[in-house]
Amino acid sequence: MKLDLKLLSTRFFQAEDGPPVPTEGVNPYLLEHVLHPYMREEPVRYGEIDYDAFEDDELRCFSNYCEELYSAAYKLNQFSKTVASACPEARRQRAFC
Amino acid sequence: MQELDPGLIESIYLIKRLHDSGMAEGLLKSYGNLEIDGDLYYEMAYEAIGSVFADTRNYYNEEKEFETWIFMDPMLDEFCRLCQEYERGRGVSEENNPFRKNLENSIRSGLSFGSYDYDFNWKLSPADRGRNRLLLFTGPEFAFESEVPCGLLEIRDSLDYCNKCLREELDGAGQIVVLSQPAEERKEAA
Repeated sequence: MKLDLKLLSTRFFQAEDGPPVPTEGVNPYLLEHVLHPYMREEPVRYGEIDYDAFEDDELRCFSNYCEELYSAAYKLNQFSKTVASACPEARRQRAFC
Repeated sequence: MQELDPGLIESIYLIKRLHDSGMAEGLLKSYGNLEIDGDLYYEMAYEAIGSVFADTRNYYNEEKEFETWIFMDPMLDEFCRLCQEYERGRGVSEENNPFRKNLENSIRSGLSFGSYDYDFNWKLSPADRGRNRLLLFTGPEFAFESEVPCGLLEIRDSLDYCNKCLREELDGAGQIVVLSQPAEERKEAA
């Protein structure tokens, strides 16, 4: 497999700086007090959640966001594995940067 | 990244729904100290069935693997009392009482699950013996216990609304008041 590093670096520079999945419409309390600690594998207890800080219908949006985020993380992980598995090959001619 | 189990969000949703109706205390007493976990959802939902009405009883027939849930509540008693008062006052039969029809529709809607192995009933007529109650019967193939608490909450909300409307109706506030004709129209008619 051949990786076009030049094209890859161009794509990285072209990519917009921001979160992988937009957080618009997602309740910030759920992000900050449920998802983020959960992702850091910190304990989140049922009794510690403030059930007044979000509406029940906001949980659907939160659920969709989590799914999209997981999907983005999965793709990134796949890409990282692909790059890691590519074996470097020496060029036939000497090249100078 | 660790995937968030859908059961985990469902369990938070369940507590939230109960919390909004002021009924989450019992469930939080049992699960409040536990870490959020999707595997707990079905267990929590089963326990939450008993949180919605003031008195819930559950009988399991081991031989037939058949479960009977009985739901009783002072709100149901009040509904029956107000209905009887309404039927006596208006000379309406139980069958034609719109409030009974409304509640029955809510019961049908709240206890509508995608399974064939269950049934439900209600005993809210003065002709029925025993306490006023809702009944839910589930067989071994029924796997929708997790949806029962939210269905019961729907029924409870409807019951609350029906009682409010019945009280207004009996107080006279719900009666249709015939508006007098505007002055100009009265002049023209004269």
